[in-house]
Amino acid sequence: MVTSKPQEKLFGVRVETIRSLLRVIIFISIAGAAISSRLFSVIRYESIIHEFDPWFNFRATKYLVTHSFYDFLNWFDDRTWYPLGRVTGGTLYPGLMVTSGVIWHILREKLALPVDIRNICVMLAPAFSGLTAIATYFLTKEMKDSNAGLLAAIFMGIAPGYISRSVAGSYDNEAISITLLMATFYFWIKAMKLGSIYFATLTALFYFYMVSAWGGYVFITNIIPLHVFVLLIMGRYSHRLYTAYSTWYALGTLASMQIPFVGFLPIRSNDHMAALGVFGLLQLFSFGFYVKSKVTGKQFRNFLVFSSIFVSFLGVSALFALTALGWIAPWTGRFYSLWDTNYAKIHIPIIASVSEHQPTAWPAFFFDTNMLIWLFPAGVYLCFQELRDEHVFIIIYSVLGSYFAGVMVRLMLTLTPIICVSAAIALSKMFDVYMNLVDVLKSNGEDNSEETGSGKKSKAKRPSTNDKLFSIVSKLAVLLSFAFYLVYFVLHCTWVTSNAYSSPSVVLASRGPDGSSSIIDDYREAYYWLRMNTPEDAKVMAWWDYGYQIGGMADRTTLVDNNTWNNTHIATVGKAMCSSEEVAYDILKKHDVDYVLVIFGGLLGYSGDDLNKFLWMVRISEGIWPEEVHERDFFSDKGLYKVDGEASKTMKDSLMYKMSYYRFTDLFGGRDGIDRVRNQAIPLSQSPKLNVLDEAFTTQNWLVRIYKVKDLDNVGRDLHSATKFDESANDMKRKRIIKKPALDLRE
Amino acid sequence: MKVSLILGVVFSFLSAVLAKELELEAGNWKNKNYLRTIDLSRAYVQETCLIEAENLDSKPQDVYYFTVNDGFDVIGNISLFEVSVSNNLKVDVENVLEGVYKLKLPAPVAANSVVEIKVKYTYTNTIAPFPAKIEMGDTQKLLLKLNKFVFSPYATSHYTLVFNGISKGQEMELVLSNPEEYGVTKNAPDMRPRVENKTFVYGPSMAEITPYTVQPMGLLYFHNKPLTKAFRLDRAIWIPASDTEMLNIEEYYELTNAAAELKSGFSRVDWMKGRYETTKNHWALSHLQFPLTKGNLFQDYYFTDKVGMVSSHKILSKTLFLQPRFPVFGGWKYNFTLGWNNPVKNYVHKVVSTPDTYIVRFPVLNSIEDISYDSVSLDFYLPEGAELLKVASPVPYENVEVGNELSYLDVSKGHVKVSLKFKNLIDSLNGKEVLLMYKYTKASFWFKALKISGFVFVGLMSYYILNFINIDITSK
Repeated sequence: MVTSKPQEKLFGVRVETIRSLLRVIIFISIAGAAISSRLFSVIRYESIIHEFDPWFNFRATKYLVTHSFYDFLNWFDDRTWYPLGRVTGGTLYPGLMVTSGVIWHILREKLALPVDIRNICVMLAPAFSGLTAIATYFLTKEMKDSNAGLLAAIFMGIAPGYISRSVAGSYDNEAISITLLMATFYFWIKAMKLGSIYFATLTALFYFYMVSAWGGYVFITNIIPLHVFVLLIMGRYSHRLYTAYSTWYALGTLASMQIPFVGFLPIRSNDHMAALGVFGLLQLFSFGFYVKSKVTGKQFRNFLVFSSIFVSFLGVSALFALTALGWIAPWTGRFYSLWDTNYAKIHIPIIASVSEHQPTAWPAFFFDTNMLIWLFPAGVYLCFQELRDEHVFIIIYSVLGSYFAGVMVRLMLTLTPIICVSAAIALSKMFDVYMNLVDVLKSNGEDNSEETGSGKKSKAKRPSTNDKLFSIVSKLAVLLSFAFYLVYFVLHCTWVTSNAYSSPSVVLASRGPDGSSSIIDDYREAYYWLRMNTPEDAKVMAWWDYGYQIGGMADRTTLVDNNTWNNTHIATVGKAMCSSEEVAYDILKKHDVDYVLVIFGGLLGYSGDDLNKFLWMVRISEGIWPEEVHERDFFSDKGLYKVDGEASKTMKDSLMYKMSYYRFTDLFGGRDGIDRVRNQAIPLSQSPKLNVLDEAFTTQNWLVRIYKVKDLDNVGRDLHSATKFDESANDMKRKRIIKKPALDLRE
Repeated sequence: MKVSLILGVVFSFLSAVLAKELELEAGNWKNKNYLRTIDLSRAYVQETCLIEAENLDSKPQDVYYFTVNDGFDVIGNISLFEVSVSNNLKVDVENVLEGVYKLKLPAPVAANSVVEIKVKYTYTNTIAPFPAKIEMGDTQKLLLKLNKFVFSPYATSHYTLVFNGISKGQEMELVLSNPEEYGVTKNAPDMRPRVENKTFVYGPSMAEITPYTVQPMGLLYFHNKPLTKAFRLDRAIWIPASDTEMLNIEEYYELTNAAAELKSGFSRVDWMKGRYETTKNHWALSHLQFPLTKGNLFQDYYFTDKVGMVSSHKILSKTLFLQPRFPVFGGWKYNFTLGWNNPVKNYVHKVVSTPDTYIVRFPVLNSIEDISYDSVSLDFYLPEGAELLKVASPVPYENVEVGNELSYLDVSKGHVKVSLKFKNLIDSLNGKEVLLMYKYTKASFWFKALKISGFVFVGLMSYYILNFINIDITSK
C-alpha cells in the first residue's frame, strides 16, 4: 500500500507530498505526546533531578561544564569514598554527561540561549524519548511497513515500561541509551539487509555512542553476534552478512576501547567473547565458501568435518586456557545473578539489597505494557510466519529480552522496545486485514476491473449481500473493540505515568486532614542545612543510598555512595551503624567522621527509612566481620524484628537504634512513643542515651536526623563518664547562675 | 580665632592621627546641650544627637565638626548619616575621616549665638549576644559597648544619654585591656541611670565634659529577636526592550543571624515543644517578612535556593512571609533567591523632552524588616544596545560598574549591566530611590530583531541548499 501511482493528485497536490507532510505531522505529534507525558513531575513539583543516581550524573555534568573535557576524564574525586577517593573519570560512562554538556555549549554559544545546566539535565530524558519513538519507527518499518512503524513509534512514546526510566528529571544513563539501542538496531538491520558498509559504519558509530553511555551495551555486543550465529546455522550466510558484521565488529570494538572505563574489556572479558567468536566463525564460513567454489563436493565435505572439529577444539581450549591464565576476566557477579536469581542473595548481599535488582513480579508486565503484552506473542508469531533475516532478529531479541526482564526488574526497560515493535507488527497486520473495506464496498457495485490485488477477499467467491453485511459488521466489531483497547491503553499509560513514575522521591507529597496537598521536603531541608552550616570539608557518614544526594545537594564529603565499588568500605559503615557506641566511636574517629546522618520515618510513617534497611547493613558487615556482627542478635527472643520493649539488647545498643529514637519519646508527653512505620511502641524507660554523638539537626518531620561526632574529651575521660559528669553538673550550674550578680566584663 | 586642637592625652589613637594629618581646624564651639538618644529596638543601633552649639568665637562661624561618639574603636560600620538644622536647610556633610564629619552649616552662626543641630546615624555590627551561646529556651541578652560620654572636639556642658526600645537593661563595667592606648578619661563625671517613660536615662550631667572624653561602658539588655544580617544582597532588575507590561526583579540573599548561638545542637523536640515558630518570640530567625507596598505587590513571586524550590511561603495581610528551610540560629546561614514581577510603568518612564530617553526610578531596597546589609549590589540590566546616561542615588554608593551580560537571544554584546555597589545598608532605607537615565533607540531594537531573524533565515536557507548537494555514491 505504500507504493502509489506517481500521478495521483488530491486538490492538485501530489499524494506523495501529502503523505510525507502527514508523516511529519504525525512524528511531531508523537514526539510531543512522548515529551509531554513525561512532564508530570515538573508541573507538579519543579524542575528537579530525581532519585539517587541522577544526582551523581548531574554533579558530574556540572564538573564537566566547569572544567575541561580532559579534566573530566582524569577526574579524581576526593569528596566521595573518604578517605579512599574515587577515580571517577575512569569509572563512569561519559556519554550522558558529554551529551548534555555539548547541548549546553551549543545553546549557550551558538544559539545565544544560556539555559541552566540543571534544566538541560532534567529535560534530556523526555527529549531523547521523542527521538526513541522515531528510531523505533524506522526499525519497525524495516520489519513490516510504515504503518506498523507509526504504531510502534506511538507505543514506544507512551509505554510506561520506558517512561519509568525517562521522566523529566530522571537523568540517568538509560535516558539516552534506549534511543541509542533502537538506532543501533535499526542501522544493523539496514546494514545486514543491504550489505552496506555505510550503514555498518553507522551501526558501529551508534554502538560506540551506546558504549560511552551505558553498561548495558553488552546487550548489543551479544545480540548482534547471536543474530548472525542463528542466521549461519539456518544456512543463510551471505556476503551482505559478512560485510555488515565484519565492518561493525572491527570498527565498533576499536571505538568502544576508546572509553576509559571499557578499555581492554572487549578483548579480555568473557562478556565480549561471543562477538569475537562469531567474527572468527564468519571468517571461516567465508573461507569455506571460497573453498567450496573451488573443489568438488566430496572433498569439501571431508574438509568441513575435519576443519570444524579442529577449529572448535582449538577455540574452546583457547578460551579455557586464557581464562585460567587470567587473560580473560571471568564473569562478574552481576552477570551470574542474571542466570541464577539466588546467586546474589547468597554471595553478594549488596547487589541483592537493591530493589531494582529483584526478579520481576508478573503483574509488573501488565502494569508497564498493558495491552501490548498480549499482542507481543502475536507479533512474534507473525515474524515466524514470514521469517526474513530481520525477523530472526526480532525473535532473538524477544526471547532474550523476556528472559532478562523476568530476572531483574530494571531490565523491563530493554524488553519494552521489542514489545512495542512486535505488538505494532501484530496490530498493523490486523488492521491491514480488517480495515480493508475497499473490496467489500467495490464488489457491492458492478464488477470492476480495477480491483487491487492486495485484498484477499476479492479472490474469494463473490459474496452475497447478506455475507457482505456480515463481514462489514464483523470487521467493524473488531475495529471498534481495538479502538477501545487503544483508547484504554492511552488512559492506562497516562494514569501509570502520572501516579507511579512521576515522583522525584527527593520531595514527598502528602495530603493534610482537610484534603489540601502539602509537600514534605525534609531531605532537602537536611541537605541544605549541611551545606549552609557545616565546614566545607566536613565528612558525613550515611548509608550508601544517600551518598549521591549528599554529594549533589549538600556538597559534603561522604564515606560511601551509590557507586558501591568497595564492599569493605560499605561494610565498615554498616558496622559502625550496627555496633555499640564504643565500637562505633572508634570507627568514626578513624574515618574522621564529623556528622552522621540517618533517615527515620517513625514519626511520619515513611517506610523506606534506615531502620527498615538495617538488616542489610547487618548482613553486609557480617559478610566481612563474621565474628563481630551476627544477624541473629538483632532479632528478639522469638526471632522477630522488634524495636519495642522486646527488642534484643544488641539492637537497643546499636548506634542506628539510638540515633533513630534519641529523644523520640519526648514527643509523646510522658507516654510511650509510637513508631508509625513498624507499629510498635517505644517504651519511655527505653529512651536511648547518646554518649559519643550530639544531636546536630533534625528536620521538620524527623525524616532526617543529623548527629555530630563528639571530640575526644580534653581531660582524657572516656565519653561515657564525661557525659554523666556533665549531666550532674548541669543541674548544679543552673541553680548557681540564677544567684550570680551583675557580671564584670573583661575584654 | 582658630584653635588647633592637639590634645594628645585624651585623643583616641584614630583622632590623634587625624589631628596630626589635618591640623584639624575645629573652630571654637561649645556644646551647650547634648542629648544623645540610642534606639536599641532593632538589629542595629540608631543614635540621634540633639546638639545646641554655641559659637564662642568672636567671628561668625559655619563649620562644625561632628565626631561619632566612639573613642575606643567599638562602633562597627556606620550606615546612615543624616544631619538637619532647626530651619531644615541643607547642610553640607563631608566625611573627612572615618567617624569624623565636617558640617557646613547653611548660614554662618553669629558670635555667641546658638545653633541647633540634629545628627542621626546608624551603625551595624556593634551589638553582640552575651553570653554568646545559650540554650534554646533562654532569653537572649545583647551587650552594647559604647562610650558613656560625648566624644566631641568641643567641651559639653549639659549632657543626657537616653536608651530607647529595651524592656530590661543593666549597666556593665567594661574594662579595657589597654586603657592607655585609647586614653580613657580618668576623672569623668559620675552618672547614674534611672527609668523614665519606658526609657533608660542617664543624666543630665551638669558638670562640664572635656573634649574627647572616653569612658567605656557596657549595656546588657534583653532582646528576644533575631539579629538578621545579610552578608550580601544582589538585586537584578531586568528592564525590557519592548512594550511588555512586566519587569522582572530577582534578589539573591546570603543571610545570617548574628544572634546567640545554640549551646548544644539543634533539638527538634525542644523547638516543637516551645512553639517558638508560632509565637514568633524567639531569637531564631524562622520567618522573613517583606511588606507589600502599593507599587510593589510581589506578583508571581518565586522563592528558591541552591537545591530548588522552597514551598513554605505565603502572602498574609499585606506581608510576604518566607519561611527558610530551617530556623536560622545564631551563626547559621541561609542563602536564597527571591524573584517577582512588577508593572514596568511603576518604574520606567519616557522622557518627553528628549527622544529615546528613559528614566528608571527604582528603590535601593525592597527590604525585609529589621535587617542590616553588609554589601548590596544593585544591578540594572538595560536592553541590548542601550546607553547609560546618568545615575543618581540618595544613598552614597561605593562605585558604579558598567559591563555587559549575555542573556537569552543576545546576539551582539549583550544586555548593558549597570551595577551600583553599596555598603552597610539598613532596612529603613527602604523608600530611597535610585534614578537612572538611559538612551535606547528604536533603531537598536529593530536591529536586534532583524539580526535574530536573519540568523534563523540563514540557518533554514543553508539547510535548504545543503539538500541540493548529492552525496549519493551509487550510480544511477
